[in-house]
Amino acid sequence: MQRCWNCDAQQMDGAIFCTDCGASLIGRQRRQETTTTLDQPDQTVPSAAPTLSNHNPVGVSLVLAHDGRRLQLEPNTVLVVGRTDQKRGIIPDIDLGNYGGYDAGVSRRHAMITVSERSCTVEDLESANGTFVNSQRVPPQQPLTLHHGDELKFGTLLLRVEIYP
Amino acid sequence: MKSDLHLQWSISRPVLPTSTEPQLIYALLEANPQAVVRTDSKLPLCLCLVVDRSSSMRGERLNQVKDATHRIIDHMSSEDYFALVTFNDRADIVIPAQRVTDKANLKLKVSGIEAAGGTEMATGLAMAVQEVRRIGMTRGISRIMVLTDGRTYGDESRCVQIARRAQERRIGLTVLGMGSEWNEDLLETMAAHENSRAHYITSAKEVTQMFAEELQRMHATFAQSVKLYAKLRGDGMLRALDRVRPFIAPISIVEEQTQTWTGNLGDWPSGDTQAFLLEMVVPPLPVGDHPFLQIAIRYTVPDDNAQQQVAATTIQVPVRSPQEAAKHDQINPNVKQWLERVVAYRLQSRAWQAVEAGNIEEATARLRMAGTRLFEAGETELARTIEEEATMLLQSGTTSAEGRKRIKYGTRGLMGKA
Repeated sequence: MQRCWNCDAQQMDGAIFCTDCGASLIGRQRRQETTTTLDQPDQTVPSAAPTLSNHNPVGVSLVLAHDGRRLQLEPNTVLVVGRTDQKRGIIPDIDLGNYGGYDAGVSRRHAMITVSERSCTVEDLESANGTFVNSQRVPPQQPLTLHHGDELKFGTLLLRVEIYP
Repeated sequence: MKSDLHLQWSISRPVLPTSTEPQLIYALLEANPQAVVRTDSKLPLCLCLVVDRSSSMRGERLNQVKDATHRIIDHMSSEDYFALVTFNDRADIVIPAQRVTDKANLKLKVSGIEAAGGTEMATGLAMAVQEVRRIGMTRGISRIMVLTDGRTYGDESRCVQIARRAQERRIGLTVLGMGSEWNEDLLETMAAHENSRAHYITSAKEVTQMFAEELQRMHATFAQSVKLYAKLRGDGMLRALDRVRPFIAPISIVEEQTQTWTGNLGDWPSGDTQAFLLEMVVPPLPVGDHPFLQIAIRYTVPDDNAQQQVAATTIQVPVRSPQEAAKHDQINPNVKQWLERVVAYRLQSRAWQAVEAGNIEEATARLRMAGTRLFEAGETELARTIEEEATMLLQSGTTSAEGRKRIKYGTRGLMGKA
């Protein structure tokens, strides 16, 4: 028997890597663990409470692809999508800063969503990293109608559009 | 068509020392199909495509899928059957299963597909199974290929049930996920059978290539229902069996009889060399050369009179005195290299389980170690991706969908270079 230098688990003779932690059990004089050093992101994403509800969809909702969270949009509203910047006093209606928006390249004032009785449109507000519908870039300041099932991307943050009559 | 399977093996250490304790040994088993495939004897195929036509497929993606489908039709012969089912909020049989005789007409129907609506996969899948079963080929290969870029909502368990039913009837499943937003757990679970596979496609352009490759593999199936038998002497034990080529995947084993373990290896295309890593416990043995493990691979050749064939080999383990063994104490680099990848694959898969369980610290440690293993195995790019995800996980408590897929399919060796 031998013991793993890294996690102290008992290992059979002949084992090459620890079956518990995966550390190499040969040439044990090399004790360093991770050899890769990489750039660190300069900001952590705050994990804030969701601003919108998890209730059944009525009308238009946006579903965050990475965690399935649903943002329900009120009818007859114009909503600015972006990231809150307290210093500059920018508080968008839909704050994607809480959903990984910073890392995904969402601008402070990124886009505008207009929900009317009959339709729903998105308009890019000259964002730095663009707004995309089904992988096609939306030209800035030109409203584009959204359909049920569309894929909407702010920077690289992906949402799915759900429209129920 | 003459077929034969050529087996070769190597073990992790050339010589084991005598010991009063059990020891671990790894064996790499390589199997080369030596089939003489005549081009005029392609196996007939019954292929049903299941295409996601939800809104997110609109534009480039759907056009690429249509293009790829046209090419598939071009490559099929009048012996083959083809069917096409589409799904969004509902499912439609666009082309009922039929012989590929009027190619122009089939293509016309493919061109008519339009994207709209949401994603509901189960009904589409059920219709595909029904189409393939309606033909009920007795000779040849039946397959369903599902292509999606999204998530299905609420019918996941039905999808898995239908997939299992098909697989048990020897209808293999190829699941292609496009982009980064599809539900990997679902597609993986659906494809978790020896005769099925899941692929990760990063761009629409890859669809054509992937379709063509799959088609070629199916036409050239060398063996079906391949099964490995491992008989160990004395108190030996088979602890794990992993496929390492053409891609890494654990294989579940059962001790079918005393000291005989078996594992199902699925269907094999003729061009592929397959390789497996066996992890075994060797009991205390006296000095000598021991025929420790007998391996038999049984398989069926998918021809008119499907007869069973067997390839066999015996793995010898030399045991020497500790002094003598110390002179040969090198580890076989080839065995080590594959083992290192298997370890990385296991580590990342345990990391995702830890993420699910909310244990971020453990998940990060496992990802970091997977990165180290890959780094040392020379997979620096993938090691970097893992390191980035580990950092992100530690800082934000989540990982990116894309990074996770790149790691999962990258460690398995399914993305681009092996």
